[in-house]
Amino acid sequence: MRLIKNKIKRKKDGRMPVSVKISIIVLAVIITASLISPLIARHDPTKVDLLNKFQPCCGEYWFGTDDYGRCTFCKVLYAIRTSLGIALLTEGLSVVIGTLIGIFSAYIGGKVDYVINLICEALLSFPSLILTMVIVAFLGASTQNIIIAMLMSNWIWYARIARGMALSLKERKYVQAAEISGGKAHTIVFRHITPGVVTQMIAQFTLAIGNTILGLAGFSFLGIGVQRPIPELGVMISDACGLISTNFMVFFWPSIVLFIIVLGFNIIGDYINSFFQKTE
Amino acid sequence: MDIILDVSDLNLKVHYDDKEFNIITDASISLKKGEVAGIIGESGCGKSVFWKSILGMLDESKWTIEGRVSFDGNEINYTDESALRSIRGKDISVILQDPMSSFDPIFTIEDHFRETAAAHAIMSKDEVRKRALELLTRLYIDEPENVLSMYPFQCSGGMLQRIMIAIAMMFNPRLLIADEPTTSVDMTIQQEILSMLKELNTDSKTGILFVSHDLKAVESIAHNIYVMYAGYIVESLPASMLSKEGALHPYTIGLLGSRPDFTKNRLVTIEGSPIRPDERKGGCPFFKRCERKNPDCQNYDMHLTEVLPGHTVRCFLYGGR
Repeated sequence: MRLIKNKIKRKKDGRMPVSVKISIIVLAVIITASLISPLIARHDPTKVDLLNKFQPCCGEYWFGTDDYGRCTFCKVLYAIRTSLGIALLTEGLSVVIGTLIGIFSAYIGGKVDYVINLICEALLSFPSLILTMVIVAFLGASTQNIIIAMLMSNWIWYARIARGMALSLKERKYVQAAEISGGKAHTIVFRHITPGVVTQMIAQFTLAIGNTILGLAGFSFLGIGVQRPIPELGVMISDACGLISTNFMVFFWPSIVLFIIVLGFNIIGDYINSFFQKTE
Repeated sequence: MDIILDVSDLNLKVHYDDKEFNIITDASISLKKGEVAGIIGESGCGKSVFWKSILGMLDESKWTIEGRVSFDGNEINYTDESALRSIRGKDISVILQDPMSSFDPIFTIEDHFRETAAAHAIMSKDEVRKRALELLTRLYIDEPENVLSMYPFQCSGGMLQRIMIAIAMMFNPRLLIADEPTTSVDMTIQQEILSMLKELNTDSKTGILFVSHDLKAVESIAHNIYVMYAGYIVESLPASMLSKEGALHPYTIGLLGSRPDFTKNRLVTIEGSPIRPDERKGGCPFFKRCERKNPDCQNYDMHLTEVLPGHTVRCFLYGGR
């Protein structure tokens, strides 16, 4: 943990590209807004008001209203909350599960390692999107099931990277030195192997999170992710698809917000990753 | 004087590609309390795996270990992992050859002390600190308080080597294994470290197993010297006998000849390099490089001949039948 703190400290000393700064600010604003959305939103995002449908952008409805008269701004706010929340939850769980399994597999070695590696290979031989869709097809489409499905196809990547890192760290002199001085296996794993793996996992996480957000929106767009009436960016885009030619703005707002979020995360992820690679 | 480490007939084999190679054959060593035993030999002669097998550090899926190791009169049971763990770092400590990479770069020196302490005893932070300061002062480290809060990369190689000795001395081990402690540090630090080890040996009666390929270092510190070649202890003799007149085995004499001194201009070299385990056929492994070879050496069974009390040799010239 101290290593990460040091790295962040040193990162602050170095010059940060403007694009990263802008991304951080924009994302901070978007995330804060979505977190406090109940305070900002003046309308219930699910409340149908047919008298006010297709309102243009105005003081009352900042992003206008959709075909049922629901406030697009409020819907987008709540949708960001769902999208980001689910994406971060699945990706976070994937990191934790993947890292634990990877380190465990590398440290135990032998047959356990072989079996875990075999499972990873088997799961990796499917394209991960197809794998997710197959799992949802089996479980049925719901918010809970899309989390499970994405989790099941995401942890493998982390497990493999963690295993590789742990294998190389295991051979380091200081790990041997710790064994010689009588350290117990779990202390050695947590003190000397995990910190090295975790830094790599953070880099990987920041790169993958944009993809996961996009993936979730994609699944919701196809109707196998988050279900209506829960506001979600993919669902909103899907609903507005038929209105592109008549009421473009209804389609525009969720799309542009999704675009900005994914772009922001990718820029930050790239920066953090290059940063970690520099210090390796 | 009682014997603290007694290794008898240690055989070590490694499995590779479904084949078995002898890495160490019939190695016996006994170390009395307060004594220093030196093991010398070229790189790849099995010095490091020898001490690793004593501590049970080798992966059992790849290595077969036969033989008996007694520590302090009790035979070490290699199947009992937790008992082994309580010996490592407490009763038997190790100083590794490369101090720069033997410390975890993300922890301070104090953390390293604390980790070893936590593995063997329940000690408060203050107790560990006090003990660490005491040890560091004893090993002549300036401003030990500052050193404790430093990270390994802030220390020099010599400092780290001394810190490693300090950590190894944490619980006053009865046996200290020093694996080439002088190879990666410069001349002046080498002398310092050797004199420190000597001091520890005389003051605390710590037995030391000094593994090195530096003949001069071993000679200056050890009481008994074991010369290792291709997994055999080819000659064992008291340090006082280690001279061209006293030593018998051609390999030992070759090593002695390759040592610089002020009398001659050219150094004698032993041609070639140590035989690889997969090239070994039988007979004396030193045969190809030996200056005094004899056709019968190829059939020699490498048995041990006691020339004088405390001086044994494995060579056809002295024990051939």
